[in-house]
Amino acid sequence: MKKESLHNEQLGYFTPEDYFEHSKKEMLASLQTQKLDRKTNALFKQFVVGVVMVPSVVFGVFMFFNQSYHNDLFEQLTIESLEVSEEEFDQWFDDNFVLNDE
Amino acid sequence: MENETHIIQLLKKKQYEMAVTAIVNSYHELLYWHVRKLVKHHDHANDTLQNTYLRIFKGISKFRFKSSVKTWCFRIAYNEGMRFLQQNQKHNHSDSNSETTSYFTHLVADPYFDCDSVSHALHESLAKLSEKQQQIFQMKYYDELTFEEISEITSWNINTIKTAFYTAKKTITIFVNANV
Repeated sequence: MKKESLHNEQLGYFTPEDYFEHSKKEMLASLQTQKLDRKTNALFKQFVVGVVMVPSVVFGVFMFFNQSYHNDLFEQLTIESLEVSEEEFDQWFDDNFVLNDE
Repeated sequence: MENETHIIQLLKKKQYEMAVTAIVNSYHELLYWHVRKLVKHHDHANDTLQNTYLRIFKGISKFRFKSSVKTWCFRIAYNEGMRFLQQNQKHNHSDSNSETTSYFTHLVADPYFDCDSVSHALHESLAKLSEKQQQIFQMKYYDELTFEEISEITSWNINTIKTAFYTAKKTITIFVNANV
């Protein structure tokens, strides 16, 4: 109040009636909106991160197991190859490696 | 001081939203008058204050307790006011001779400015000072900030502030006494 009268009397600065009470409420309400926007943005960001991360993780896991599967398969075939005779080897190799698209 | 302690407690507990509400409740009027004297027009002061609170809200988690909350808020308000003035200066080019006229034209355009003989003489004497002197005088005399606080808010050298204040005070006293 002291500040207000000092500014009124000496500098001629006035404000609308009840300005401080009204503007305080208005500005706090505006910050509340910002708060909600911020929460919505945070949720949206989490959603986007989720959309990108989940398939990446699934793909990574898939590749990891797929690699292991290929390694296992390769070892198994190498062992099997020992039992294949030299005459049949080309056919066996084509069937298991060249034509196999796994 | 009690308000300041309460806000600091909230900040230490990381209750940022409550801290901002406490800042608005505690410093609203002080910050308004600080900004009003910088931008002069009531509507501009209102807009600048709103932007100030927005910046406080966004930056409150970065407050590092290196200054008081009050000084930190004043610093944000001051910078926001300066930003407004700079943006406005781009649109209003005036030569140094018309500075006093433009000072009054701007003031009179505000419906919430009422000029009597005292305030007219005071504004006339303020218009004779440099912008820096005007700001220092108003911060010290009307906002009742200490020289140290003004230095923290404006990042100006404390001795320059002291010199500018005493020169401004002298100029204003002489002018007002001669004209009222």
